Amino acid sequence: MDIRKAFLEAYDRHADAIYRHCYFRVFSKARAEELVQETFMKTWDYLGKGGRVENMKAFLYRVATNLIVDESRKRKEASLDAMRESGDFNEPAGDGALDAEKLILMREVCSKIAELEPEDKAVIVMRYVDDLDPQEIAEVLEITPNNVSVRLNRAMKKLKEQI
Amino acid sequence: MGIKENLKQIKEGVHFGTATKADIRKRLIHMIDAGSVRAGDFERHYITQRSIASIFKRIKLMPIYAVILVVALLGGGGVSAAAQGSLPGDTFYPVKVGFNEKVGAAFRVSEDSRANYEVRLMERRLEEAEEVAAKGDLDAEVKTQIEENFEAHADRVEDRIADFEAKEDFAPAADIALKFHASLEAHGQILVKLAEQAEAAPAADIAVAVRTRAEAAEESRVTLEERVFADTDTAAEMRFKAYAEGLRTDALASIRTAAEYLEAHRAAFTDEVAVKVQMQLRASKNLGEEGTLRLNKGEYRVAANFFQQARQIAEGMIVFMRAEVAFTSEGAIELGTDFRTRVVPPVDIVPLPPVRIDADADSEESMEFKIEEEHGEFFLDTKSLGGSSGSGSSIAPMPVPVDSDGGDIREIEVKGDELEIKGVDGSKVEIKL
Repeated sequence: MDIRKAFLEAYDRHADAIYRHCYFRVFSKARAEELVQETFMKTWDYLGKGGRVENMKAFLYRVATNLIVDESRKRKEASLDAMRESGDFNEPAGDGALDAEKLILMREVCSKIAELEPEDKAVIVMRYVDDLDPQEIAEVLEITPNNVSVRLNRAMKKLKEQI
Repeated sequence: MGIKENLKQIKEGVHFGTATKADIRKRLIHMIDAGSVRAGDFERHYITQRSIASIFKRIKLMPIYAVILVVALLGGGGVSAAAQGSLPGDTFYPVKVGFNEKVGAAFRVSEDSRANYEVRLMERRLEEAEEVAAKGDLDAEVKTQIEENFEAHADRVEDRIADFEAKEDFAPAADIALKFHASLEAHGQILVKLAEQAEAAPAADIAVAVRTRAEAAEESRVTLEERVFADTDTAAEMRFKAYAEGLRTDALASIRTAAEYLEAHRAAFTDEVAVKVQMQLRASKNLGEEGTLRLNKGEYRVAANFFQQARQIAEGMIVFMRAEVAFTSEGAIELGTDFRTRVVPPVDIVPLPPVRIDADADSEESMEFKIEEEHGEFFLDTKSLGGSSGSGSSIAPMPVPVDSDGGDIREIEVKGDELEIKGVDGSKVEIKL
């Protein structure tokens, strides 16, 4: 199979979803775009070194998640504090801008999500933004589906308490 | 409405822009076809073993790249690294501007980060000019090269600003214009100083060009900001707020960067310079705090103004410190302390109230006081005066201009009629009582 072709097809098919996932994890348009590029570069590097990927979608989510976790470890204080302090969520407008009402709603919910622990944030975004089912999330995080459900319940409970 | 429904509604508004998606796709294809030459961390680049064949295929097509890559393969990538520190007139200088910086530019995704990168490149041209001038190597030929490069980069920054403007995206346009202006302003001053001190007349010509651009940049910033605040629709208020908040984040980031830079390069500065920078940063912080107060009151426009000034001072200090580090390490010239950012702070540095010292007024001996922190403010601890004056002293607790982040000033001494504030790093400020 032509790896190059398959890779570019994977980009066309999954780039939007990966972008959305990254956006809801870092809440910055520019950063999310960079993360998409990094995710696909890493994936290409992996394929180029002869790595095998069975489930491309899950693999891409895993790479993106790892990049985000690495980054948040590196600058945990800076990003979270800055965001909390300033409420600085970049307007995500891609092709269609949000109306004012949605933007307010967005800021509110996003600020609550931003306060969650990275693991909690990951499962919530994957389940309710990316619409992955627990089986798929399990594959991304390399844990059991049962474990996913437990984490999801716990994360939702925390989020509800905050709101 | 529940959280799940909220998220569902919100996520529909989040789209990967079609243009950005196509842009990144193009870059990925380029990366694959160029044999994985990619810039890790945007600055370094490396070549994987398996890509050698595809690189040689491209050599015929790209002579400059070819030379660099061949030498890089043979010499382990040292050329590009060596080129990074080169100056106009050096052999490898074309590698730096022709290759290294283009690789850097290719890996910046968002328009914002590209515009910022353009500003940074323009700054580099000016830093190079300053370094060459400080060394006394600024002849007519090098000067022409520098001027051309500078004008080209400055044009590109202005183009980026115009791009944003054309899309009616005034906030990022104003933001870039601010950074552009702050940087030009600071470099203009450094070049003037170099022209005087190093008797490098050509530096004065470059300074004139820089000043001219600086004035244009400031005008453009003011106009753009007018546009940001010109909207009257229902969502306008929220955009004003977002704009002011964005400026605040930027100002805080600039102040933090400046403080970190000062700490990292402390050894390169004289005490006088370090204190000067600390005072300026303190002024910058005060402006930021005032801005936050106004922001919370909903006075977005006034707040924006404070944040801009705060940022301008901090950015100016960064440029100043960079130049200072570059020149003192060359051993060629010191800029000294009379560098000024041209912004006049509307709020003063918290002044020290007059202090009367009864007990030891005539004593030649110096006394040491402790400083206590309370709610982020620093106070002289009068109890630390101890036994000599019995129950304490007539000194009331007073605020001290100590950087609450740096925490690097921990000791105050009274010497005759002077108050000396000492930093743990050896810096000191003297204040007449």
